[in-house]
Amino acid sequence: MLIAKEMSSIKLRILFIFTAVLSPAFLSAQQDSGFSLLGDEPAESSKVENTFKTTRVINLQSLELTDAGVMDVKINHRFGAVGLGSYEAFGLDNASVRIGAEYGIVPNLAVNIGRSSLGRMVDAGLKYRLMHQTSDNARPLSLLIYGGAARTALTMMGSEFVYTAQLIAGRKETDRFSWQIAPSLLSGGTGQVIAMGVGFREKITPRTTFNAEYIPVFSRPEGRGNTGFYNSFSVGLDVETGGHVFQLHFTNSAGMAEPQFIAQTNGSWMSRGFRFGFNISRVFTVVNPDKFR
Amino acid sequence: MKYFFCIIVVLGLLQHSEAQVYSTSSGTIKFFSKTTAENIDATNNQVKAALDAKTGNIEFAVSVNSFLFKKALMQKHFQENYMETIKFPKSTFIGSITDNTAVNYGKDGTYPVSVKGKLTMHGVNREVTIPGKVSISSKKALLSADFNVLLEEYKIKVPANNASQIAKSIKVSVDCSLQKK
Repeated sequence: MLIAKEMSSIKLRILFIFTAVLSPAFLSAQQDSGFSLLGDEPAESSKVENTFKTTRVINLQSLELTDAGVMDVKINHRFGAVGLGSYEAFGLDNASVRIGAEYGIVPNLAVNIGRSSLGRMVDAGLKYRLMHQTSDNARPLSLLIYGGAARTALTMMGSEFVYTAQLIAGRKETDRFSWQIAPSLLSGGTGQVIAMGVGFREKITPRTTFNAEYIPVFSRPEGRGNTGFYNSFSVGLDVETGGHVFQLHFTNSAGMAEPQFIAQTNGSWMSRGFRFGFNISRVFTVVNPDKFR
Repeated sequence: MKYFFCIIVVLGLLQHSEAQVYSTSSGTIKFFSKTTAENIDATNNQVKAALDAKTGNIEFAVSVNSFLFKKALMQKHFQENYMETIKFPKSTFIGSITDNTAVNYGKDGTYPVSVKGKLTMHGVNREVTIPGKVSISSKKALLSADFNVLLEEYKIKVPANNASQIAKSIKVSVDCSLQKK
């Protein structure tokens, strides 16, 4: 009885010693991943960047926003319809141009302005990022709003402002694949147009992506001035070379300002009304990013 | 007998506290790429580092996305095209000071050391030996080192277009002030 009591007390003490002496060893043994001093680190979360190569999918505003202090100069061309045939070099004899610039005023807010030769249109807008997708999925989506105004200088077409309100929502799913939707409302001129842009990009190589966008119009005003339009559909490639992004594409939209490609696309893919076009984007760092950190 | 156990327990606890670990989560790593066309540099001020004075074991971990550049686009290209941070978010070093006895942690001073271990970057694991310095002052250990990294050795590809702007060998400079726990 006495011996048994002594034994159990020794056992307890041995257990105690083991716990005290070996606990540091056990603690470090629990950690894997090679670190013994830093310990297992929780995965860090960061903002998901490079969802698209530039601020446009093709014509449509993308989930990208010009960084604060950065100027993005955009020079865009659209040629004539391929269906014009060989006499007009399948459209290459005609070109319409939009020259524009975007500037990041502060983080998450950028302004843009542009002038198109088609319709002698001036357009300007503000783009604001409400939510930025994070790598830990605490914010699963990126969410931006775009508000713009455009006006044509052609008085015979009725020179009134056309306003664009757009919500851009989407996600970079993988390193290669990103998608977005862009419910859009155009107002002014002859009435309201409701449309839903959808777009995606798929990386082919680290510096080349395949892009496509489709902008079905759900509602447009009645009347003669609003017939004969098609939904905008564009496919193309983004090629990135250092500070430049070249976007080469085929599209049935001749115009590059929101009211033109969303509401007034007059080419039909079925009757060779699509055309070749390209966008060149060149960024310049105007203000050192340290100023915004 | 009871005292004997007590002593052992105390010794056990002592062993616990005797581990002299210095650490930080705000160390600095910079890198420089020098070419005739362009000089590029970036800084990361969120480097995690730890040093066990007893064993000389040393560890660094860095989130590659936290390197800040002077141009936003450069930073994006660095993340997306070169370091592929979606696949390889972290760079780490796990190793030890080969001549740890040469460092007197109890005495202020600067001690040149050689550190040997595994540098993991862009998913590539390499055994490296890096010369550096440990500077002791009161309860701090300042770790500094300068070394070069060959992009090719870590499978970081530079396209022919940009080869004139990005050096083949990148100078890395480490500057971490570790606090005794």
